[in-house]
Order: sequence, then C-alpha cells, then structure tokens
Amino acid sequence: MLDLTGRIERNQLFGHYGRICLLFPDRQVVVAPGQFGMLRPNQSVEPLLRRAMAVYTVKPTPAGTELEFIYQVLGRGTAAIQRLVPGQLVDCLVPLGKSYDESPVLVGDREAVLVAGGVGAASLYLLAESLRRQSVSVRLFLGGRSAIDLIGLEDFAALGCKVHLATNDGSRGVAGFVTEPLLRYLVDHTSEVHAGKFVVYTCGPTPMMKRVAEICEEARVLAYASLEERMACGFGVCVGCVAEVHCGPSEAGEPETDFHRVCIEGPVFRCDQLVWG
Amino acid sequence: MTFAQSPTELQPPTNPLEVEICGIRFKNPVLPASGTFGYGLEFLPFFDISHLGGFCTKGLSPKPLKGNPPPRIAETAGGMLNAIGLQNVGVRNFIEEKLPKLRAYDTKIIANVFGYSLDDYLEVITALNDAEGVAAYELNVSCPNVKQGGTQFGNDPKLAAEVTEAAKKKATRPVIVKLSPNAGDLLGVARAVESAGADAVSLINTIVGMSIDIYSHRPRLAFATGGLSGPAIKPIAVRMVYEVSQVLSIPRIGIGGIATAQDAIEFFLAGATAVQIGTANYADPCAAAKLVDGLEAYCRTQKVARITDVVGAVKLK
Ligand SMILES: Cc1cc2nc3c(=O)[nH]c(=O)nc-3n(C[C@H](O)[C@H](O)[C@H](O)COP(=O)(O)OP(=O)(O)OC[C@H]3O[C@@H](n4cnc5c(N)ncnc54)[C@H](O)[C@@H]3O)c2cc1C
Ligand SMILES: Cc1cc2nc3c(=O)[nH]c(=O)nc-3n(C[C@H](O)[C@H](O)[C@H](O)COP(=O)(O)O)c2cc1C
Ligand code: FES
Repeated sequence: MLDLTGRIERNQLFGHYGRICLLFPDRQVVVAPGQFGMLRPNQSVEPLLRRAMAVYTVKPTPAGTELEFIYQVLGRGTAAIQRLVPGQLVDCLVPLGKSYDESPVLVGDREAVLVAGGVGAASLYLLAESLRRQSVSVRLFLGGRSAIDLIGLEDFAALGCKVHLATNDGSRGVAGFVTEPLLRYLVDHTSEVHAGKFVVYTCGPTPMMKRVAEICEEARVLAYASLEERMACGFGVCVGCVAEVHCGPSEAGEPETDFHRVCIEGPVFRCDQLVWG
Repeated sequence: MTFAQSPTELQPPTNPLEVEICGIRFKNPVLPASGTFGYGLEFLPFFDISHLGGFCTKGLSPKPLKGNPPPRIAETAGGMLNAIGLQNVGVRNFIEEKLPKLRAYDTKIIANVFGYSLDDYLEVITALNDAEGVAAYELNVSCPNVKQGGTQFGNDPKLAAEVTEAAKKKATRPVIVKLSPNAGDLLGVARAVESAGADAVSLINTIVGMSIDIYSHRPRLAFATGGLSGPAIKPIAVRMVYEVSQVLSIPRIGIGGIATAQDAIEFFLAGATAVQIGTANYADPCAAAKLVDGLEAYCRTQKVARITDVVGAVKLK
C-alpha cells in the first residue's frame, strides 16, 4: 500500500461516467485483480474523504505505471474528480484490499462466469484480463440500466470473453435484469454445473449481487462478490466499512456473525460467507 | 510517499516541542486520536510512528465488541458522522498481539479504555496494569454511539467523578478523562473529574448529529444518529478547550477538527498542552507526521523557544 501522487493523462467523460488515467512517474505499481484505490484531487480538503475506486487497468510504461479507473458521477466526491483535467494531480492510496481468488478456476477445464452491473464491471476487468492470459474461458454477463451503462463492453470483448448483455430498458441485449440470462445459462448447462465447471465472480449493485448469490447457492456454484461499503480510510483503521459475515457456531452451538472490514478482509468475499440480509 | 523515516533529532540544547503531561514527557504534543489510528501499526507503511509524541489506541473493552451494523459512516459538509459502536479486538488481544510489536517504537502509547459498566472500565485497567509499554490511560466516558454506557458516565458530574475515582484507585498509570461535548454541564463534569483525581482531560469527543437521505427518507446511518468529527467541529472544540482551561488546573489535551499545525496552535492558545488529530488521518495517513513538522517550522519561524510558551496565551483584549 502506497500513498502516491498521479498525474492525469486523460479524463474522458461519457454519460454519467468518467474514465481517468493516472501516470505514476518512475513507479512500478503492482495491482491484483479486484484491488482498489482511494482517490482525491491532490491535497483537496473538501470533500473531506477520499473515494474508493476499483483499478480498471494497469499499464507499465517507460515513464512509470499508468492506472485507469472508471467512475460514476454520483455526488461531491466523484463530481470533483470529474472536473479534473490532464496535467493535474490526484492523491491515490493503492493497492488496497484483497483480490479475487483465481485458483479455483485455474484447475481442469473450468469457466469463469463474471456477472457485472453498471460500474461494477470496472472491478472485474483485470480479472478477465488475467484469466484470459492464462487461457481460461471467461463468460461475462454484463448489465446496466441502458446501453450507455454497459461499462467496458468493448474491452471485455477484445479479451475474447463471451459476452451476454442485459439492459433494464431493452436498449441493448435482453430486456430486464442481468441475473435472468445468468440463471438461464446455468439451467441450460446443468450437467456442467454439477461437474463443478463454473466459478462465478460478481460486482455491481447489492440487490444484483444478492440475487447472484441466491442463484449460485441453489445451483451449488462457488461464487465470489466484491462488495461496496462507505469508506473513510480504506486501510483498516476507521472500521467504518464493514460487512456482516458468518463466523461459525458459538460455544452454545448458535450460528454467529461478525463484522469484517470491506477494505481489509474484502472487498472480495465468498458469497456463502456473507449475510445478505 | 515516504515521510520522515528517521526519528526527530532532538535539537540541542532543548527540543521546543517537548511537553510534560501528568509526569510523562512527550517529545512533541501530537497524539493521533482514539479510533482514527487503529492500533498504530496500520500506519507503518506510511511513516515511522516514532516521529509522534504518542498516540491513543482504539477504545479497548474487556471482551471484543462486534459494533453496530452498517452503514456506519456518512460524510457531511466539512465533517463526517460515525456510529462504529466501538468494534475492537478486546484488551487481551491488544496486550498479546499488538503491544509487543509496538514496543519497538519510541512513542508513548495511551490506551483508550471503554466499558458499559464501572466493572468493565476496571477490568480493562487491571489487565493493562500488568502490560509493559503503556504510558497512560484515557477513559472514554463520552462515546455517543453505544446504546448504554459510555455517555451516561460522561454526561453527569457525579457519575463521571465516580468512574474517575475508581479508575484512579486501580490504575498504576496516569488517567486522562476524555470529556463529552454532549454533556449539558461540561464545566461541571470537568471540575468533578479533576476533584476525583484525574491527571488530565482530553476534549472533545464527537458531537451527536444526524443526516437523512432525502430519497429513502431514512437516516444515512443504520444507528440513526452518530458522532460528528472533522473541521466542522473545530470552533466548538476550541471554545470548549478555552472554557475548560479557565476552570481547571490539570492539563488539557485539545481534540476536534485538527488537520494542520495552524489548527493545533489555535488549541494551544486556547489552553491545551497537547493535541490529538483524528479524522484528518483518514484522508492523509501522513497528516500527524506533517503536523509535527509544521509545529517545528512554526517555532522556528515565529521564534517560539518552547511550544508551551503559547499555551493559554490567547489575548482577549
Ligand atoms: C471497494 C470499492 C470499489 C469501488 N469502485 C468503484 C468504481 O470502480 N467506480 C465507481 O464509480 N464507484 C466505485 N465505488 C463506489 C464509489 O466509491 C462511490 O460511488 C463514491 O464514493 C461516491 O462518492 P460521491 O462523493 O460521488 O457520492 P456521495 O456524495 O458520497 O453520495 C452521493 C449519492 O450516492 C450515494 N452513494 C454514495 N456512495 C455510494 C455507494 N458506495 N454505493 C451506492 N450509492 C452510494 C449516496 O447515498 C448519495 O445518494 C467503489 C466502492 C468501493 C467500496
Ligand atoms: C470513526 C471514529 C471512531 C472513533 N472511535 C473512538 C473511540 O473508540 N474512542 C474514543 O475515545 N474516541 C473515538 N473517536 C473520537 C475521536 O478520538 C475524536 O475525539 C473525534 O473524532 C474528534 O476529533 P477529529 O475532529 O480530529 O476527528 C472516534 C472518531 C471517529 C471519527
Ligand atoms: S474504510 Fe476505514 S476500515 Fe475500511
């Protein structure tokens, strides 16, 4: 984990989103799939806290390392990032959190099934890239409100992922929630499901991930989710960012839960460890 | 970014930043605040914590505490609300797992003590008494984010005096009482804990606040209310430190919205001998180390021989 200052190379806006590229001069920055950064405009004091962003791409260059992030403009923090222009500086704590566990999908003839909603796709791109580099089959179910919300579509397709699309308004792909084509795919491939062929990785709105977790639990498919929670620090000291997890029976044999920090013990958790509420 | 990796070199003949509080010498008056500095070790990737006069641990309770359900934090203009609910590893884990690692650093460790009952406070203090490497105890009688306990002691002069007196009897180390800005009678509580034997007071803890999401009509924190911290509370904290300084003779440690040396100096002028830096550590993990450097620069450029020369030096006319 480093507190670095990056120089903006590009900050392109599309719809309610932005894609920002930061150069960290003369630095080698190593990021594992699913890890994130905490960003703020250089030395800014308002808003007070940095904003958590999944690292979208990592590119070593002769000048240093370039990291890209894709952000959805929601409130004051992301609006401040949106206003930045090339040449300006950004403070970035990076890399933070645990990465996706690739090991279960690297054995045998398995397939990674990625389920992304909206800007959640940003967290899954490095995973897809890493798995494709290792010749693992990657299938992406990508959902969004409308066609513009299908984040990273061209990039995932260029990696050779098999892509299924869904939009709420039907402007691209099937109309409805992305979890429906996922369910249909698993139902249509029951024997592979039973053979343990699929490992699911999901990131997106909580209701979507909850539905993915339900589907995977029923089908007994191993699934991982990358959670989002409000964060003040991003490095484990405020204990503000917790998720409720099962932690085995108590001495009295009662099921017990605990709160784990999304920034340290997560953001990636096994779906069956989480209390979905 | 790397930051001041070597401990501050003491400038002969005197170190202008050295202060003494309840018999403890701090090489500088900068102490990160409880709940914002974890157990100290989390900051090692950013700077050498020996650069600091000391720090306050997360509130320690007899048993680990689970804390409140999320969302636990909400940012507001110039500040943030939190309702963590004192999730912590418990005093035994602190002594066994964290303290041995912390002994390698030249900084004073102030153990922040929390309980739901008088017995809880005494149990934590008893456990810490046997542990090597703790300089002082800070009694949190002012946490607004747990259903019972904490505040009930801090809001009432009689109860605050009771817990202070009992803690003093048990403690083998100086006892700092952390005052609540939410007490109706702050000065009454301050006087009561001084009479009960407190070695120092620290103030302020967070101010109870609330924020509501206008679309869902729900509070933005699961606990509904939370403690406000950050720059938004600084003028209130300066005023309270000033008022308490008028009536107490034991040292005051100023807390509330401090991010820079300028902020800290306001608190010294109001009557604080040391300061704690809280929320600022989140956005800038090196904030506390920079604050030390900023104070050094202030003493140098303003020709202040000792930082204690400005303590209480506010001019009212
Ligand atoms: C590990 C992690 C990785 C993330 N990766 C990305 C990413 O790659 N791209 C991206 O765009 N976002 C990402 N986020 C979410 C992002 O951090 C928040 O959207 C951002 O902090 C909002 O800040 P703001 O100042 O714009 O909004 P605020 O002013 O904080 O809030 C504006 C509105 O958005 C709502 N809101 C705020 N935070 C969230 C949230 N986390 N989820 C849902 N609603 C929220 C608020 O309730 C409010 O209504 C990630 C979050 C985490 C924890
Ligand atoms: C997330 C969070 C957790 C805190 N936890 C504790 C705690 O465990 N014990 C305590 O005495 N104070 C706790 N505090 C209060 C701080 O120590 C400090 O008094 C307060 O935040 C005001 O200072 P600041 O404005 O510099 O943050 C906490 C504050 C925050 C923001
Ligand atoms: S964001 Fe502070 S502990 Fe996770």
